[in-house]
Amino acid sequence: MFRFKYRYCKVHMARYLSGDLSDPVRRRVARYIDENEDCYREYMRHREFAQKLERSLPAFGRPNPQQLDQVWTALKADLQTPRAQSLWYSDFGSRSSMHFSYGLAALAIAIALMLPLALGYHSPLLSISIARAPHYAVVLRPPAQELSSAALFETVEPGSSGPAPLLQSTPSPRL
Amino acid sequence: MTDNQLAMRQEIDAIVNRAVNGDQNGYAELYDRFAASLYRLCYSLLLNEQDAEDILQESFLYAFKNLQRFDSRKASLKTWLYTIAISRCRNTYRRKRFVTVDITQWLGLELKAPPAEAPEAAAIRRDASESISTALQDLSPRLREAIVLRYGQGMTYREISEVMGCPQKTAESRVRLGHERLRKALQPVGLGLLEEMLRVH
Repeated sequence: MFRFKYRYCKVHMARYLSGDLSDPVRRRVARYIDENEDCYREYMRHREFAQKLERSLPAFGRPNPQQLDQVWTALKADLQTPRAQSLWYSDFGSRSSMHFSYGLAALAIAIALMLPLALGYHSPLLSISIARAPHYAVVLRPPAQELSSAALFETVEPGSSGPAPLLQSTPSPRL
Repeated sequence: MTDNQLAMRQEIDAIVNRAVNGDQNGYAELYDRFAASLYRLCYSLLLNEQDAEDILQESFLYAFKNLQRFDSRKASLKTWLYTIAISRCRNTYRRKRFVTVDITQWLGLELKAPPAEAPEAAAIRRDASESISTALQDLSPRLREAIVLRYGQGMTYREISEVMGCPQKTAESRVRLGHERLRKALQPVGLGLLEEMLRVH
């Protein structure tokens, strides 16, 4: 229950201090701050830091008058020059053109990735190599010579320079 | 809106009308009113003097050229100017996303002390400014924007949500998150530094 109160206070503390909470929520936070020590500590810590920020941040980056004068001089010169003809590429950097260029880049990457697949090229690293079964051919020799039954049938690897087969079986066996 | 705020808004609307009708003094008056706060906003977000000056000039140039489009019923001139400046600051973050180190900061050219300032005061000012600068730089751009608008510019959550272009609840949670992270970032340095900076200013 205490943790719930603490979390509730923590979530609403910034708006509690700036007076932006509705009446029921503001009263509830105030009650928790009174009842619970952790809530009170959170309140004090938040208030102290917020006050310091409110006083110190407006002093951060304060310009000197010369800087503002320089900008004003440049601005007046810009205002007096007639507006240049706007070019199609002059708007690079705007939100819509950024979206367009990001979209274009994404499309180019997608095409670059899909192009090899579309053309039938496969990466040897990605493809799975399937061992090809060797093609066998049955060679029948004439019975004139004395041959053992083992010599009657011999296997000839495709591409090997063996004796010309007399009879070859087709098709090759499937494994 | 309080009577004071209403009167100020009417006064600014009158200056805008004068400028739109061709009164050159109207532009100068608008610049005098908003230039310093707009520069602080840009500097706090970009943490670079040159970039802040460029964005200040660009924002005013755009605003002055499009002043007839400004509708005071939709937003105040301050909110409109801040929206323009923040949008340009965001473009600068995007362009500089991979270049985060600024050579002028390395060389110590960033923090110029006024000539009359004593060396001790200048050193304290430099330390404090560097600590805040580092802490702000560690925040994400969105959290930095929320913190700078809330604490640096004293805007309400509603105004922050208008300038940042997000729902009010989102603006609130960004301020809360930014506050927590900034407190954690500045804790090792000591919150006394902020006090020192206040004393010097």
